[in-house]
Parts: sequence; C-alpha cells; structure tokens
Amino acid sequence: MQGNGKSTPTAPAACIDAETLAAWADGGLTKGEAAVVEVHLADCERCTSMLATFARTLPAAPATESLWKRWHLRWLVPIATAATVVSLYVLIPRQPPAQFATETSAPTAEAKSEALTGTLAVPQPAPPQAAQTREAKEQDTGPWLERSRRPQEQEKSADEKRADAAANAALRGSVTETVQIPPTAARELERAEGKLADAQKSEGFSPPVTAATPTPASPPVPAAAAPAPASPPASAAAAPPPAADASAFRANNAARARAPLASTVAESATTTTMFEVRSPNPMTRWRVVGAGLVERSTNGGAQWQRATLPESATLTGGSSPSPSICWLVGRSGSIYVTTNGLRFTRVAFVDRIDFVSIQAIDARRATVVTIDGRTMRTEDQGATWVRVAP
Amino acid sequence: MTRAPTGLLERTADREIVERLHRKARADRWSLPVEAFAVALEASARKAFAATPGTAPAPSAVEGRQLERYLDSLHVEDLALACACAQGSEPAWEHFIREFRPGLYRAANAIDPSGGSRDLADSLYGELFGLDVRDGERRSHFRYFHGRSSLATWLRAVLSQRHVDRLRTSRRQEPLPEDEAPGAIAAPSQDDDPNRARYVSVMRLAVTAAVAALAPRDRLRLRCYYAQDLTLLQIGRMLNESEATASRHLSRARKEIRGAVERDLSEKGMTDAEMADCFAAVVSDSAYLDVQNLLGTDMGSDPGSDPERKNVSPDRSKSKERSRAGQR
Repeated sequence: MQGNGKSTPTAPAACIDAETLAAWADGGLTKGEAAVVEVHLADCERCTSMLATFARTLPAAPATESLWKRWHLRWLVPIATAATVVSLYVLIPRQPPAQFATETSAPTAEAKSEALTGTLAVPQPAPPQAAQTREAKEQDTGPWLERSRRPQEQEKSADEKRADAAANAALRGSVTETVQIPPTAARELERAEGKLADAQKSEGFSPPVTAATPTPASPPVPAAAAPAPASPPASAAAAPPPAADASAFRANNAARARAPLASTVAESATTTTMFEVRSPNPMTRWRVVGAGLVERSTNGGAQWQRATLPESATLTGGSSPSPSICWLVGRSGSIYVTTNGLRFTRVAFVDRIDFVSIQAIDARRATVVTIDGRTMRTEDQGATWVRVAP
Repeated sequence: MTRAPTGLLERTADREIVERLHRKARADRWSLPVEAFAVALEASARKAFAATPGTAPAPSAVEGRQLERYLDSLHVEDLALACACAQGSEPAWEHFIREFRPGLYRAANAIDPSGGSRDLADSLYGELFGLDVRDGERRSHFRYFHGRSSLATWLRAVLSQRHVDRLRTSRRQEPLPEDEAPGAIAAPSQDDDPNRARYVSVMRLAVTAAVAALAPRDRLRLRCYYAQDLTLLQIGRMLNESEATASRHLSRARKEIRGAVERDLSEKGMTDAEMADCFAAVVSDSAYLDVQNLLGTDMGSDPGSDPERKNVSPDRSKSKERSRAGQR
C-alpha cells in the first residue's frame, strides 16, 4: 500500500470539540463564543466536515415551525378566536342592509332587474300609474345606459358586444342596444306573451304596462330570452310551453292574476325546495326548486323571485359569499355564478364531472369538490383551475 | 457515590442556586444527590469560564450574577440525567435507553445508511455506560457532557466527531491514485492557448482572495454547500435561518466573489476581453478551479485529506460551480 506522501494535518489545538459544536448548534454559546466558533468552522476543514456530518444527523423536522405551533404563542389561539367571533358579531348586520332599505325609495339596477324578472315570470295586475312610473324610470335609464356604454362598445368585438348587451338586459331590465336574439326564442316569447294577454283579458284584467312591453324605439328583451336557444331559459318554466293546454293555462294565469302581488311573488314558496343557499346576510338566500330552477329571496324567505340559469341542470350545492353573489354547482361540470343575485352565468370547468360542494370567497374565487374527491380552486371565475392538495 | 461539598455549595447564595436547579432538573427522579449535581454544575462552569485551556477559574471567582445566568442557561434536566447515568442510576438508564438511545442509532444510520457507523454508536454507548475502568472507578463518557446543549444534540455531535476522526485516520492509509487508474485526476492538458495557464493562475489567485475576503458565515455557507455538499435546508437549519435565506446569502456571496474577481482583474490591467477569457478558461474545464480545493486547501488545510471525499461528489460540486459561472 502506497502512502499518499502527504502528512494529514492533525486537528489544531483550537479545533472545536463535540460539546462546543453541540452548544453552538443549540444556541448555548454567547455571541462572542459563537462568532469564534463560526470563524473556525469557516476555515477548518476538519471542523467543517464534522459540522456537515452533524448536519446530516438532524432529524427530518421542518426547518421553520409554524407560528401557531410555537408553544409560547398558543395562548394567542383562544384570544384570536374570541376576537374573530366578536368581529363577526359586530360586522354581520342583524338588520337588512342599506341596499334593501333604499329599495323602495331609489330602485337600484338590481331592484329593477328583480321587478322586471318578476313581472315577466308572473304577470301582475299592477296599477297603471305605478307601472307607468316604473316604465318612465326604465326609459330614463335607457339613454343613460346607451350613452355610457357607447365608448366602450367601440373597443369591443361583436361577440363581446352581444354578451354585454345580454348581461345588460338581465341586469338593467331594459335593453337599449341591439341584441341578437335567436328568432325561435323570440317567436316563443311572443306567443307566450300573446296567450298571457288573452288570458288576462278573458279574466277581466287589463294587461299591466311594464318595461317589458316592446316598443319600436327600445325593444326590451326579457332576461330569460338572452341565453342561447338550445338551453331553455329558467323563467320559461313560469310561462306555459307552446303545446300546453290553453284552457288550463288561462285558468292558471287567472288564479295568479287574482292573487295580490306579494302572495303571487311568494307563490313558489309552496314548491319543493331541494336546498337553500344562504348569504352572510340572513335575509338574502337562494333556493333550488328543481332542475335549473333557482329562486332568490331578499326578505328572509317571505318572498321568492325566479333567478335565471343559462341552462337546465341538476344542482347539488351552492355557496354565497355576499348577498349579491351566489355560486351553484351540479352535475356534469355545471358551475354557475351570479353577481347580481338573479342572473347566473356558466363557469367553465376542466371536465364534465359531478360536483359535491362548493365554497366561494367572492365572485372570482371558489373551491369545488368533485364526486371523485378532487378539490379544485379557481381565482379567476373559472378561467383556470388549480387542484388543491387534500 | 457521594461527593464532598464543592465550591458551588460553599456560599449560601450558590447553594440556593444549586438547589433550585436541582429541583428544576427534577433530579429526584433519579435519586441524584444535590452534592453530585453541584459537582456537575461546577465542572460545567469551570470549563465555560476557562479563559485559556487548562486554566479554569473557580466558580467563586466568577461574578455571582454571571455564574447564575450561565447556570440558568444550562440544560439542567439533561445534565441531571447524564449525571445520574454516570452514577449508575437504574431509572436514569432506563430513561436514557428509552428516550435517547434510539436517537443515537438513528444518527448513526443517517451518517452512513449502509450501517458503517453503527459500530461507532455501539462504541459510544459502551463508553457512556462506563466500560472504561480506571483506578478501580468506572469512568463514563457522560462526564464530558456539561449541559450547554441538549443531551440528544451532544450525542449526535460526539458521534459526528468520531466519524470524521475515523475517516481522517483511514484516509492517511489510502494510496494515491495511480496515473493509469480510472480515478486519477488528469493534469490540465497543455492545449494550444498559450495564455490559458496564465489566465487560470490569475483567476485562481483572484478567486482565492475573494473567498478569503468574505464574512466567516458566508465562507461557511460556501464550504457547506460546495465542499460538503449539504443542502440549503441543512445549511439553513445549522445556521438557524430559512432555506430561502441560506440561498439568498449564497447568491450574494457568489456575486461578491464575482465582483471582487472582476475588480482584481481590472486592477491588474486586464481588458474586458481578457477578463472574459479568464472566466472562460476556468469555465471550460473546472479542474482548473476545483472549488473543494479552493475552499479546503487555501484556508490552511490539506486538499488530499478531505475526510468527506467519500460522501462528497467532486463532480457535483464542480458542476455546481461551473453552472453558476456559466450563468453569469
């Protein structure tokens, strides 16, 4: 065996021993002592090797401990919990928020949408004067909307214009721009409205003048007619199908017409509720009463108004992070969201799988659980989905 | 084994401290007398306050408050356990075997997963038990534990020290690689670039000076990362910083080295093209600038005696440096 010929230097007297290394690693040295040790470790090969070997024996624990797992901070947990509870108690209003209080005095766009949708879904014998006032308000809204949207329209593509117009129709209840409505849907709508008018006439009621009355200048399009013809509007369930028996339809509408406004709007309260989705404001909630049939209440369930879904889908769960936002999930990759409380739009998903539940944070962020156990999260209203580790 | 009253028990104030620490250490579990615990505390204090090796002042010479602060910082529970084990307390040994012995063997496996260090753990365990009998008295290796760290950390450090010392001893007997052997390090080829040797020499000097000018912690990180092949996580845990912080410091150190080298070359009157050639010369063949040798040899150590050469892949560290240099 041939020696390497080089004399391996013995560890100098100043080399640190195991106890010093352990004390340095455990923080048991003073600052001065630790600095001396580090200077030596930086320059001594033998001691660096010992340090490296020692480092390899470290238990496989995480390098940094979670703030809340530090024992000396655990006393903060009950305090933080109590503070959170108090904050929630203070922040969550126990009375209807201001938007509900001002609904009668100054109708918001949402309120207008609700009024129009409700009128379309269930015709009311509203007093002509009140109806005219409402119509005047709607007509006042039209030119303003038209003016405010024109500069934006110039920057958008034709498809975006159509989508925006449809959204505006649902949101405002009055469409001032030209909206491309499928001819079949328009014909069905006219036929239904004609039958509705006939039925009301036969019962002795004059048809209410509403914003939905078509005028050549600004043909209002009901929100239910905006979606594609392939998927029947949800509110069409309130209107009779073309092939329905005319007499039964008239009788049904006559009974509706006789009822007062409140009870008529709340008529669907007697229907079977599959499940309810409650917003943080207990007065606002949504309920699913059938495949693709969703209703919203803004007065704690006393009255319900039909919301619109772009298609008929079996819904299985929902989540509402605020009184105007609601997410719904269902079968076959069905995810819908509304930001005005009444008009749901489809949210894209990666595949057509059934959903079990959803938890929404706001209008853009939500987490869904699929039937095969995956948890997926989006932060851009479905544009992208990220799988969350279980 | 009962000891005579020691220096720490002579003064009333010190005796109160010892008794308080005795209670804090729950030494009653091991039936450890206060006097024996005081001996261990005094030995620890003597070693800690020794100004120079071999001159250990008596604890009474140390300011009372300073001594109390030091004694309070000790891991007295582990110190009491070690003291009790050294005295042969059965309950203490049962506790040690249950709580600490598995960690000792886990550390041995971590050092050498093939089981090569298990004999070291066995040997250490035997020494802790006190197989060494001198003058009719059993001498346990626990007497070297002074409570400045936890007992588990101390055991791992002792094991690491023995492992390194054994490797260093074994490397002295290793033959040099034959010239024909596959592992022989090939000498840099004398290629057609006459300036290459000069560039390499200049670069080596410049990089050496730049590394030497770094802060000790930065040098330590470089050593651990490039020469010892530790991961950023391991380095961070040793230096009590996060993995990201360790990475950031390493990155900064590399930039400092780069800047210092460029300044050095610039001061030597090199043009930008020549500086680029210098960097290219060491990047093209990392054998010219072995970072292991750079960090190990030029700091006063022998490059051929790297005890961790078995565990460290020189190619990897070289490739690391090469990749870093190539990124610049």
